[in-house]
Amino acid sequence: MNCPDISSRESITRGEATSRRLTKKLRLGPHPSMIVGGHGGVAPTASPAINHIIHNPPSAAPSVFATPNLFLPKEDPRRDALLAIGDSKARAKLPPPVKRPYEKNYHLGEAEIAEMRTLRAENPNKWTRGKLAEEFGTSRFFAGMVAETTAARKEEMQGRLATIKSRWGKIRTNARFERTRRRAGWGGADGQ
Amino acid sequence: MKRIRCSSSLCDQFLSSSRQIVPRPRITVTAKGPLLTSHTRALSTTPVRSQYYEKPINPYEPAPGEPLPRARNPLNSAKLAALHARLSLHPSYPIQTLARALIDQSADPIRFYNNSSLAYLGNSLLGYYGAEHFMCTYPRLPTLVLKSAMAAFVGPRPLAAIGREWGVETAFEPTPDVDAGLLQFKRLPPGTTVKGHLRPARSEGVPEEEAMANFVRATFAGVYLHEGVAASRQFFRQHVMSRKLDVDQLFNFVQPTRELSRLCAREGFTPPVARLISETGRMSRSPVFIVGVYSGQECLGQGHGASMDEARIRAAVNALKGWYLYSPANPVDLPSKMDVDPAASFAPAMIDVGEVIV
Repeated sequence: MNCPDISSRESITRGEATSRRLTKKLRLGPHPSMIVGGHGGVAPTASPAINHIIHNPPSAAPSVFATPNLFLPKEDPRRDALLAIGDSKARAKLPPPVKRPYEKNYHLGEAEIAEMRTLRAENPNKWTRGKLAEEFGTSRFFAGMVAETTAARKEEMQGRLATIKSRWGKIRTNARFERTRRRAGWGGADGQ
Repeated sequence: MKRIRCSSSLCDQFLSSSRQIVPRPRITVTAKGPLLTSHTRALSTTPVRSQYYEKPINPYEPAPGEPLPRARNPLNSAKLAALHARLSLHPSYPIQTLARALIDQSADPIRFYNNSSLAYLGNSLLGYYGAEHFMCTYPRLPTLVLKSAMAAFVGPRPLAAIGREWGVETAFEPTPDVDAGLLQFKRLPPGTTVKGHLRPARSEGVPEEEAMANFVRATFAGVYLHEGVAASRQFFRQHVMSRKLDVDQLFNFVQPTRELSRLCAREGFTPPVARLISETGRMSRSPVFIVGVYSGQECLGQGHGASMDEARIRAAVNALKGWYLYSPANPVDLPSKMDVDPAASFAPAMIDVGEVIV
């Protein structure tokens, strides 16, 4: 499965003196993909001598039933055929990543993790997950995962959150509820 | 009233003329030789004439104190003949079996006269055919999705829908004088809870959906018993598999990005990276982002959304669906193919290692 690029067209601006000229200017030729032999904007020199099919489907999200090459099992006959096509293509330039990629360094051992837990248990109000992450050079997610906070602090924080939520009006409460519901649907529950 | 016994040999006669008066010769029953009851006789291949019984001989016959079967005559029902013809059942499928399939356990508690045993067999067959279809066509389907797909094909609701599409009507009350071509079951009083432990006993009544589903199961079992394996496979294909189900809509991932990372680690692929393929209207009210999730050079899935996070998560979901919805290239051989012809060529189905545990 190859993700296609969406080519941008030149923007058309209105700027002719008469409607006849404007109409003529706005008149668009067929898209290159609709012209036989006209890929890449090259105009065909002559009509093809034999019957032909123009395969130009409208843009749509790829079907999930088309299994990516990588996911095909080794014994599947389609795998080799698709890999051969993929190899013949030039290595396309990949689009930019959404988040900056980073290397995981796995620098924390058992001793450091034990220390994180001790610090957290001793003074959970000082050693929050953000502080721990900063101190040990790791992510907040990892800090929260290995060194969970105490039950008392959890309860206190939840109480504080409940107080904040109780101050919300009808509109904000509803908006937050809807947002949570929408987010939950991204996993496939909303049927898109 | 005398107990009326009908046989499969009358079926052909009945199909040709439903109003024909059938002679009922009195046959003297000898003490020896197993005599089949109506239900077993209907299932047997040897033609037997209809007859009266003076006393029960078969050990499976109800005891003398038990009530007699309801006096419904399948041969007098035009609805039954129409249903038989509408389902294109073979003449070897007796009208009596179809009539019995329409009698629910709540209408007649004696298992020799109701469809409970047929429905049980039919349910097993439907489960077998449904499971083999999904497990061979989509060998990587997670268990939960497989279960919901099975429920969507051979669960009570679709089966009841099939029964209604066949044009089967229900009797208001299962009295002995109703038409034998109507679905006979005892209705629950309105407002009864039918789920959980509060559900009343079966003899108190059943929901219409359940009775209709049991009728379809029993009809299916009749096809298997009277017409054979090949016919039952065909019947399943025509009536059950012809229904459309979007299997890709049955998924719901809680942590799709994490699950995809686990999958790539398990299978030894390059860790997935989300990449922004295209976007429009970033600062507007309704932006659209298209994000693809890549493993090395390979695009595993694509998703779109009104935010980068949404598009990224949807891309991971689509990549996972691409993995789980893998289907072998050629039409797969189902194991039940060998039931029809044991000498046929058979390619074994793919068995996957299992779903990703997060």
